[in-house]
Amino acid sequence: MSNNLTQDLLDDQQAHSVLSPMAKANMLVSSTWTRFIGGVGMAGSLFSCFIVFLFLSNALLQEGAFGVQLIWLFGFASTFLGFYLSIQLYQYGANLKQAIEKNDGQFFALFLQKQKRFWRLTGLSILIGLGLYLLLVLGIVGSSVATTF
Amino acid sequence: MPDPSFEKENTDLILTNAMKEDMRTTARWTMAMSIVGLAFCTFAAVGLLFAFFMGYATLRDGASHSDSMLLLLLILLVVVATLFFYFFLFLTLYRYSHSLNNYALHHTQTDLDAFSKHQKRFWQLVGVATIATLILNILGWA
Repeated sequence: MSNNLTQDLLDDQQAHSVLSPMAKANMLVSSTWTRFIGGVGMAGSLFSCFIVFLFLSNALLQEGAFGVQLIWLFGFASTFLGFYLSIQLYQYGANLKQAIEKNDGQFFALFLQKQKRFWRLTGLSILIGLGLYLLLVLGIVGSSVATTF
Repeated sequence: MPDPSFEKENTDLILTNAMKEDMRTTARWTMAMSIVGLAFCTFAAVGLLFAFFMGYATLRDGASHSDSMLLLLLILLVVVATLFFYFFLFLTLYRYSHSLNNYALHHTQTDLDAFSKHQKRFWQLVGVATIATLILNILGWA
């Protein structure tokens, strides 16, 4: 009885919508571009990851260069994050394509989940990047003020 | 194998609460990023204007530097074009976010069509930027 009531309430909150041929065509174009960008991003960030890893391993062998090691470690983390984001974007495009081609609303839910994950991760990365940049600027300004006075 | 009729027919969508929540979360993040991007473009434009006048004043006070002036103008043109491109990109992201939020709230056909259109435009612009970056990288390595 209780389960039926909950299901009725959920059904009331569900909404019906129609995916038109025009929307499908637009989404297929989006899917092609996102898969292309994701693919290029994966290749580019993997290459960058490899190059930065070489510099990082070289810096780790030198003793006392903690600042340089930290910069390369940060660079490696950034390129790896770029690689992960590119994978997410590729999956976003792949899911969107599947949602349209399968002609089934269930796949659309999967695409919406991927879309949310991708944008949340991108947003968080940008916020963290901006925060670190602000800290760096404040550090430089602070040290120059301390040197002057 | 995809259903061959998928491009011609309407598909019924049942939007569950989870789907609506996913759309609203996406809309919030994209909105935040578009506002940050638009603000960044505006600050960069003001900075660029300042830098241009400083550079112009320096060159004008010195001896005749027609080549330097030409180079300054060329750099300015490239930077302005890039800024315009990014401003338009973030504006498209803002519209994408707005239409997605509208669709999550009202679930109308018009909102879904608008969302798909803005999403397509946004990814097309990012794709063009990716191709340009690729070409510049190849030219840089060559």
